[in-house]
Amino acid sequence: MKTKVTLKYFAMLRDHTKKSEEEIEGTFSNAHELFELICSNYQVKLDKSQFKVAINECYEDFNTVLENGDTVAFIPPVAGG
Amino acid sequence: MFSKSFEITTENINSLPKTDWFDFPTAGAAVTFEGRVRNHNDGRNVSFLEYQTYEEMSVKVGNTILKNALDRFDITAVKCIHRYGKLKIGDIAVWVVAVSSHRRESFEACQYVIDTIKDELPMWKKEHYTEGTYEWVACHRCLEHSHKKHNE
Repeated sequence: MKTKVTLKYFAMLRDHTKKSEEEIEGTFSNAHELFELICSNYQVKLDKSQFKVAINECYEDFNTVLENGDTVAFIPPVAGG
Repeated sequence: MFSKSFEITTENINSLPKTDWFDFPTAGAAVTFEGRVRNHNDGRNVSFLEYQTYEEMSVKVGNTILKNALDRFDITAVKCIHRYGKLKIGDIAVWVVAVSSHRRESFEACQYVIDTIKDELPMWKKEHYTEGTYEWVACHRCLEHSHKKHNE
C-alpha cells in the first residue's frame, strides 16, 4: 500500500536535492524507510545519526508510521543563535 | 500577568524598538541577550551569514521553548526574536529578554532560552567566507559520500 507525503528540504539537503519541497509517493511505512528512499533517489549516503525527523512540524522518532498527507522534514544539525 | 512572545523575522533587529518590553510594574530585573554576527569562526574570516529556517515549525518550537521557560523559572515575561535571511557582520541574529522580580530568575531564564534555541530551533546558518567559499555550520558530517565523490 502506497503512502503520499510532502517532504521539505533544508540547508545542505536543499542544496543537494536542489528542491525546497516535493511530494513523494511510495511503499515506505515510516520515516526511517522514507530516509532510505531519499538517499536512494538522490544517490547520496547520509549519516542518519546526524539528523532528526519532523512530522507535521513536530520532532518525532524515525520509527513513527507515516500517514497520507503528512509533511516530513529531515532536520540537519541546527545552528540558530 | 505572565506573557511570552516568539517571532522570526527578516527585518533588521538592531533597529527594532525593544525597551517597551521591559515595562512591567512587578519587574525589578530585565536580562537581555543579543547574538551578533561576528567576522570570524574556527579561524576563518566570515564575510556574511545566511540563516534559513523551517518557518512554521520554528514558530511552534520557539513558542514551546518560551512556554517551558515560563513554567521552569519565576519570571513575568519572556520574549525572543530570531532573524533569518542574509545578515552582515554586526547584525543581531537573535534577541532574548527575560523579565522577573529579581535578577537571578531573569539570568537563568535568558540562558535557558538561548541554549535551547541553539539545540532545537529548526534554523540553519550558512557562513560565507572572505575567500569566496561557504559552509553550512555543523552540517559537515551529514553527507558521507555523494554520488559525485564515488565517481571521482
